[in-house]
Amino acid sequence: MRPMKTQKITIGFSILIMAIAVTTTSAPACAHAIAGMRLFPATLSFADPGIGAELPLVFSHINVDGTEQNVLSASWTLPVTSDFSAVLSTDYQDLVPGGLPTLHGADNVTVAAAYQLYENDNSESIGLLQLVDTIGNSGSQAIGTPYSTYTPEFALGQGFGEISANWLKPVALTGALSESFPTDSSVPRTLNWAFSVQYSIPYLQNFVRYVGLKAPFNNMIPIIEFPMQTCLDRGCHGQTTGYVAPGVIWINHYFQWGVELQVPVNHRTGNSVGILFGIDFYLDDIAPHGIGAPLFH
Amino acid sequence: MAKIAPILLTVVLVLCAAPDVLAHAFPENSSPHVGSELTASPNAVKIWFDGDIEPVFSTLIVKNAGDTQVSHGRGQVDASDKTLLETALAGPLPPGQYWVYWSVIARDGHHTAGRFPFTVQ
Repeated sequence: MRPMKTQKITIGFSILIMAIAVTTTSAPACAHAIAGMRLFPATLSFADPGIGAELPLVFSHINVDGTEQNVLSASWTLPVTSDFSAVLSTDYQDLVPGGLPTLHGADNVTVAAAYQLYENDNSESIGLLQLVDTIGNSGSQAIGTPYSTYTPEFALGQGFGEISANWLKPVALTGALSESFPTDSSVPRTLNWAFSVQYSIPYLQNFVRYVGLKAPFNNMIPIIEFPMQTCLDRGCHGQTTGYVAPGVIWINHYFQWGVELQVPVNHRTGNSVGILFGIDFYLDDIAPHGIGAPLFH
Repeated sequence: MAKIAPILLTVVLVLCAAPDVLAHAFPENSSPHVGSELTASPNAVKIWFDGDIEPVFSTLIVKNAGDTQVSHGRGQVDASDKTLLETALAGPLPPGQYWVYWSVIARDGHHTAGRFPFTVQ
């Protein structure tokens, strides 16, 4: 199974190189979750606060307790109305435990209903509610689980454009809070909490002060993500795992792409640094009158 | 994975070749520059966007610190360059801070709007 893993890494690397080539020669701007002048890029490790049509693909590689994990996740957000979307997602995992047979296959399928709770242009704030259902027995035998998990979630974004200090205006925060309820009573519930701090170079140059940055820096958003999980019961009560994920996201007319490190926050999470690479296609910009448009206006 | 790779590469290549007339329109450059401090009054304010914009629904207005409009009309899209939105000023601007307010509709119907300051010393 070793060649298979090598092939996956090679494919991920190839996509990375292509994205670099595309991004460094293209114009800045455009978007997904938008509130006024603020564009919130899709975060790589947790839900963004927008419900726009999109197709994110995220590849991650990390070693946890001697097991190499390669995961390619895909998701499709389909707008039903202007403030309500349906989401379909899954992932393909390749787990290589040291000295043990490799496990690989598709994970369970996840469906979600997302509602844009609020969006305020003047205050650059946006928020959504969604209910996520990971369907038991819908993935492969090796990777999927036989039980379902229901997860209500709230995600928000807040820009700092109204703050008087010019150097803080390009800053924005996003966050997500959810609780997972597995249908198998032996599996613990978890509280999922995540947030990101981001600094938008496009916002700086378009709305605060032009500082003369050209491509590829003019469409770059440095970001730090903090995806965390806290176990709520079943013998692991109060135990928290998670990552600090510093990186960069580039935005473009039709898609964004980004690279982040995954640094474990504690020994319980792991001892190795992983990497995340994501590309997110903005379907509402690619096909505004096709699959990117709401089904009902 | 081997089956997914060609699909991904195809999608990326198609996107690279896609025309610029779709998508939200955001500023790419402006004159005066965002946040600039000028030693003399400009004659006009211009914003270049990263895609074509609709002339009928796109506006550009300049106001002074007292919220009084100091530009002519609602601005216009250049006839030969559909990415350029511009407006002439009513006269030489006295020293002070000014705000440029823009609102555009991209060719696909997406609306974006924004504002930025500049200062005449």
